[in-house]
Formats: sequence, C-alpha cells, structure tokens
Amino acid sequence: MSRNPSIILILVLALGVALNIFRPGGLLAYAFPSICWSIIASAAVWAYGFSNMRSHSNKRLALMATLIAVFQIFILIDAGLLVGFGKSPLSFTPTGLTVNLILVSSTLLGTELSRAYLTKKYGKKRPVLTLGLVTLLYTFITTSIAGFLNLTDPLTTSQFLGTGFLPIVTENLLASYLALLAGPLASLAYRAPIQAFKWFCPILPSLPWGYESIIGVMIPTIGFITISMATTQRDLRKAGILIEKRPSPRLRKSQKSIKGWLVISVFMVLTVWTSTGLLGFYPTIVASGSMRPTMDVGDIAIVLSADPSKIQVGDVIQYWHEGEMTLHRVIAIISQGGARLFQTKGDDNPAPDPELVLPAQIRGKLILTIPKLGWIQIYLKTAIATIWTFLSTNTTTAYALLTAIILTTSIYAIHAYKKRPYRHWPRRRW
Amino acid sequence: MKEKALALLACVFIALSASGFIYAQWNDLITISNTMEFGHLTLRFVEPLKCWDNETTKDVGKLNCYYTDPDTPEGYKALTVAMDNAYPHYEAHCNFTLKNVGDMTEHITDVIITPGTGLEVGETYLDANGKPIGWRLDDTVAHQQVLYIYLHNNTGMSLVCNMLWSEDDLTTPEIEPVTMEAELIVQITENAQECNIYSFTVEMNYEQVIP
Repeated sequence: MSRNPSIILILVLALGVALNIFRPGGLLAYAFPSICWSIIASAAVWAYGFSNMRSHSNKRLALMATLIAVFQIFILIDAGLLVGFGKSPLSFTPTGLTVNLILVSSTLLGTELSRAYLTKKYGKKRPVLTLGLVTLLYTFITTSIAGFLNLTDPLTTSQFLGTGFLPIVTENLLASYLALLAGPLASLAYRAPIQAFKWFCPILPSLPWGYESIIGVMIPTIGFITISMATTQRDLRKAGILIEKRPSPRLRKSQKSIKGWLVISVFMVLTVWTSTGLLGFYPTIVASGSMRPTMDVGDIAIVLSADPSKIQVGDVIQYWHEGEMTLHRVIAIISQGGARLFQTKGDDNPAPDPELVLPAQIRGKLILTIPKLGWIQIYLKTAIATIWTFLSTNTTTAYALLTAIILTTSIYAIHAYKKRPYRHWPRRRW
Repeated sequence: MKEKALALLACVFIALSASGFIYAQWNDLITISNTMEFGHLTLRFVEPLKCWDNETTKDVGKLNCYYTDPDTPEGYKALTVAMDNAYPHYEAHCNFTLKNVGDMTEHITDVIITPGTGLEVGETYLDANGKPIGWRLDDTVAHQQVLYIYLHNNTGMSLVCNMLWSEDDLTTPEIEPVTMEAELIVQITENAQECNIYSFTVEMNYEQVIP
C-alpha cells in the first residue's frame, strides 16, 4: 500500500512549530515532546513498513556511523582532559534517569525514523536537494527560534552560531546523509551514542564554546567525507539511488563541492575562533569617537590578551565597564592595597574616566588598528538589528513569518521537483 | 581509496585517544571544577538590576554593580559588585533577577562568590535549612574581616534549592514563575581601608529537577 509521505512531513513541521510555541513547565516539559515524538515515530513506522525498513538498512554503513560517533565522543573526552571536566547538571536519580531516558529515546526514534522515511521517499529522485531540505527541516525543529530572535550583537551571534546552530546543522547533515544511504539504523547508530554520552554521563567535558563548536562541526564533517568515500555503487543501489556508470560533470562538481564545503566550514570556524578571542586576540569594531585621532568610528582594533601587571602608562587597554567593552588609554597607574588600578581616558575626551579600572576588568591591550574595515559590519549590523528589532517586538509576526518560510520553502520545493516531468531529467542523477 | 580512508580514520582515532590517556597519566590529576553548561538547562542573570547605597547626606563611596560574561540566548552568567572608597558602616544593596531560560525545571545548587583583588572568603553563613545565605570576605594580607555579603530571594531564604520553573508557568499561579528576584546586601566593617576598591563576583550553579 502506498502512503503519502506528506503526512509525515506535515506532522514533523507541526511538531517543530508546537515545540517552539508551546513550552510547558513541570513534568509536561518532558511528557509533551516525548508523546509528540512517539506519535511521529509510530506514524513513520506505519508509513515506512518494517520490511522496507529492514531492506533499506545497511549494516556496514551503520557500523561506520557508530565508529564516527565513538570517535566524536573520544575527541570530546580528549578535549576534556586538556581543558577540564564538569559535573553534569542533569538529574541522576532513578526518576530523573527514567524521565530523561524516555525523553531522549522517544526524540531519537521520532527524529530518525521520520528522517529516514522522508529521505527515502523524496531522496530517490533528487537526493542532494532532499539532503539539504531534510537537514534544514530537522535543524529548525531542534533549534530555538527564540534564540535567533535574541541575537543582538556579534558575540552572541557568533556564540549562538558556534554552539547552537552550526554543530546542529552538521550533525543533521550527517544524520540525513546516513538515513538516505542506510536507513534509520545508520542515523540512529550515529546519533544515539552521542546523545547517550551527553545525557547519561555524570561527568562531562566542560569545554569553552569555541572548542565545542570546532568539535561539533569538524567531526561530523570528517564523518560525512569518510562515509562519502566509503560508499560503494552497491550501497547506492541498495538505497534505491540510481547512478550513472561513468562520473558525469555533475558528479565531479558534487565532489568538488564537498571539498569546498570542507574549506568553507574550516574557514567559518576559524573566523568564529578569531572574532571571539579563542586565539588570544580580539578584533573589536570601534563604535565611538572618544579615541580620535588614534582610532575612529568603523576602525577595527586588534586587542591582545595582556597580563594587567605588565600594562604601562600610555597603553590603550580594553576593559569591561557596565557590561560593555571600552577601549581607552591608561594615563596613570595607582597602587591601592597591593592592587594596581588604572586611570583611563579617551584621547579625544577632555577629562579622565571617573572610575578606576580593576585588573579583573581588563581583557587586553591594543596592538593594531585596521582603518575603516569595520564599517561593513556596522552597516550589516544596523540592517540586521532593524529586522531583529521588528521581529523581537512582534513575536507573533516573527513566529508566523518563520513558520510560513519553513513551510512554504519545504513543501513548495519538494513538490515542485516531484511534479516536474521526467523528460526534463534524462537520467536520475546523484 | 576507501580502505585508506578507513585506515586513516582509525589511525587518527587511536592517536587522539592515546594522546588523551597519555596526558591524563602524565598530568596525574583530572579536576572536576564545576557544574558544566547544558543546552536545555540555563539560568541567567537578566534585567532589571538595581543598586543603591545607604549614603543619604554625603557622596563618598561609589557603588558599581553590573552583569558580566554575556551569554546566548539572553542574559549574563555573572554579577560583579565593586565599591570604591567604601568606609565602615557603608552598606550597598543590589536587587537582581535570575531567569530560567532553558526548557527544563532546575534549581540552584550553589552560589559561588569570587572575591576581587586583596580579598578572600573567610566564612560562609547558612540559613535555618542549612543553605548558604551569607559570606565574610577577609583581607588577604592582614586576614581581617573586611565585608559581609548577604544574599537571599524575595522570601528571605537562601537561593540554593529554590525552584525555578520554565517560562510558560507564569500563567499557572500555583507554580513559581520563571524569574526570581533576589537581593544582595554588602556591609563594610571597621577594618576596611580608606581609598580602596573592594569587589567580588557572584555566579550560580544549578541542576535539573524532575517534578
């Protein structure tokens, strides 16, 4: 019996919207997503069929997926050994373990069974497009829309992208790829060990968000490339994806795009690392004219981490002041109770700053100024801030808009390609 | 080619795993410093933050309270209080707000007071339930008590192990709301030195609670 895959797609989209809008407290915070994901898992099994699920599974790729997951866990532990460990904040009482086990297992089953079903149904004809859309779909379901709406400055945006978004995108990309090639068993084999580690290990690596970001992005990327290289034509045929015998120009292009994607991901992670000081220096865009003529609005100031005991009069330092970073010149150093306190002043200000700067407030000192380059970000930030302000103050509009965008693009793109006449596709392509 | 890729993956896997264990053996000590961050469980300092002191007729001491360590999706991880030129009997008040910005129930398990330069924690005071409610900070050189910190929620009890619930419970009157207001009082003692700056930072550890 042929079942309409749109039912599962609509169920998953509805759940994504419901999880973002309805956030109950107490025990319902666990029961509501568990019940929703269980319904989706059951619907996916009903639509998929046990026999189809078994025939679609590929044990060799599932084993590789488990290895990638174990690899990722070992890397996390290794990073923890270097950086430090922390106590997991999750509950480890029998009740807590049971509730978390139900939540995690139902979420995993619902996610991976529906993901495998959707990729199987839509992926035969346009696998690359399906992979992209399914990745986006599950990324937006597991990412808080409120998180996007609260992005107000570059640091929070970088942190959100680094810890909350990009790792989820890459994890979903690999899971979708595995689901497409080897069914729900393989995507579960990848995601279940990682989730089990995160939710049920009482001691976890306490990593700075930059480390979390690099591991979360790089390991799934390595996994994606490894799976791509290890996939045989037999695997593709078993997954129902027909390929041409000789590599077509499109295939070569897709191979190049994987390399390009890798380069872009490395570049993005390095950009995030650099912009947030993980490499020891902090690029900062000058937002006021208090340091003219040394620095002007729109210049980029490169600040290097510095030991407060080595800061001298004349140095330009960056420090926390009332929740914001300030760049001013040290005009005097005052010793009080054994501590060195810094009197600062903007070069263009008529008087010194009224408050002394504590050593704990100091982030670093200025080493380089790049003129005018920061205007690009100021303009972009202003434009984005205007949109964000509008969406933040009109939450209902924001939810409606985002839901409409996700729904429209997903359904329209999938259906438009599905309904396209076959004559436009001389051969099915990978 | 595929075999090479697999072999490479295996080699990287073994090398990285081994490096971690070798480091652990060499370092001989793995520290578990604090409670780590977890995506669905997040407690943050949020606005409003209001500070004032007990100076009514003069303006000698300067009080500066601000949130530090901003974090996504909203709020800050720490609250810093700095008093400049504070003198005996100077008293600072700071009303701050905590918010459960995750989607799971949580409670505060510990309050971490990090003294600024020249100060150290001398003693911790507990409330009737044995939960921390006050701290004495001493001078690191003279080892004399310099200031007292009192921290409590709007019921006057310790912040530790008081329930915070997720946002939508604001609509359910019988359950405590998502945000919790708390007050911090700092009293300067006779041992405080003139023209000095005393500062400290407040952070919270928290964990999941299954209702």
